[in-house]
Amino acid sequence: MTQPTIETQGESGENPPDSLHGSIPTDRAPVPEGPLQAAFRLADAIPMKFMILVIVVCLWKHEWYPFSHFPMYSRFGTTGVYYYVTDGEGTPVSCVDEFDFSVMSLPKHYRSHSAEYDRETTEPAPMDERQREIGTRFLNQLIDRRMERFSEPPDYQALQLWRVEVTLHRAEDSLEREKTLLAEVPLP
Amino acid sequence: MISPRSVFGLKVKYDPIELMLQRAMLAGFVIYYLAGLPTFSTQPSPNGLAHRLDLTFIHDPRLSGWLFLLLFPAALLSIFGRWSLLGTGYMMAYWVVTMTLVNSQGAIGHGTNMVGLILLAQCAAYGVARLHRLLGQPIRPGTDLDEHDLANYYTIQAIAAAYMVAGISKLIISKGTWIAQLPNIAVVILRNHDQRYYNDFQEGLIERGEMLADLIVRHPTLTTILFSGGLFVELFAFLALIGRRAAFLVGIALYVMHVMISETMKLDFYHNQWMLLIYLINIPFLIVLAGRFASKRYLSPPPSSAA
Repeated sequence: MTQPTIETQGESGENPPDSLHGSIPTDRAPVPEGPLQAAFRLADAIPMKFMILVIVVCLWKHEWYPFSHFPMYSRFGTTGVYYYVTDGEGTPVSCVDEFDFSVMSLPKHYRSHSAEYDRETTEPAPMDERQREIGTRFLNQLIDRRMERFSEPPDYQALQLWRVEVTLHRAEDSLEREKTLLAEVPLP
Repeated sequence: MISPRSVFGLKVKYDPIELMLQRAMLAGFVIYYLAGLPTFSTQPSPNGLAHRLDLTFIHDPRLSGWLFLLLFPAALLSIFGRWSLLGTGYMMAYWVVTMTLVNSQGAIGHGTNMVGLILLAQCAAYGVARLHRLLGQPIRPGTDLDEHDLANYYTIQAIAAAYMVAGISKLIISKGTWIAQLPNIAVVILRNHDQRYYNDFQEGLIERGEMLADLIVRHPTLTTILFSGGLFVELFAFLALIGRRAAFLVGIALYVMHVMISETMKLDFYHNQWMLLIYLINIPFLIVLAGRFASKRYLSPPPSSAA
């Protein structure tokens, strides 16, 4: 079997220029083809193979950074939900300034807590109670995050988590917001 | 003879200055973004590598400063095209570990994936180029294409793949009804404007969202026509591999799509837009072209006039 030849010297007998990097010389003497070279040549004949590979891995793994199937905005329903945080009086609190969380990411965090709650809970709880418990866990995470970031206490006494459901009523061609207070946690 | 390989295969020879500018822009973007990230000491909802490894070491106060400082020599190696696999490899590893840790906090974001895929693509290309060298084969027989041209070719493939996956997912998840569902985008527009308002309390955002959403509810057909173009641009992103002009046109189309999304849905994909500017719209090449034009116009000797 012909072994792959590794060139270590240039034609003049000196080390080839740029031997660790840079351009690959194209005027080398032909090297007898071994199985590795043949496999390489075959692979080279497939265009866009890296793109195809990335597409396959992304669709297969779904979420495995940096691979993702990029599912955002792949489905548009007639309802949408978001969350926001207020102080105990109902005045909105800036999640970015206080907790370094974008409001856009709150639904994802809420879903994570919800999944964790469902894993830990065997007895199904009434919806109100379930949402309150998940909301409380989430607010506690936010409070911990704030305490990590700032040493001085905030100028509010409690945090509230609000859920807003936006609904498109096709019959009337109108949109409606429905706000619900999920949980309230006093600050330690 | 026209074959997929001749149309979509590696063929563009890039200017060395263009390549260096591209690498400098990418390295600058990576370091600038990583420097501004919050730190995390836990990984409560592991994603990717975090399923197998504790990645919090990257933010360990005893190590993090040194690990971050090493990004600078790595970036220099990458920019000057010396030991590119090592330089780009370190940047890729640092980026992937850091962003995996960020994505392991309970909210997976997709804004930075493209940069990770690009760094991975470049490492793969430098690895393949090294294999070519070991096997004594040129990257493309009969051409002077080198490892940096291959890295750019793989980079464009990574960009195209990311957009194509987004397009394919729209078709899979919506069971082929994505275009029919487009009028419901009014819900997303209203919601996103509200969310953006609660982020920074910018005056007038809620009213803007209501106005846009109302417009969409009243004009569903126009909405479908306007927004469905985005799906086709994503699905046909691979056309960027045809050559420079095609890459430029696809880059412009994708960039316009992002601007539209940003204006209507209040969703910003800064990373993707920067990568489009660097690699598809190819600002470095436009700089090189401007330089060539200027040197021809102002530096070349005037033609000698016949007596």
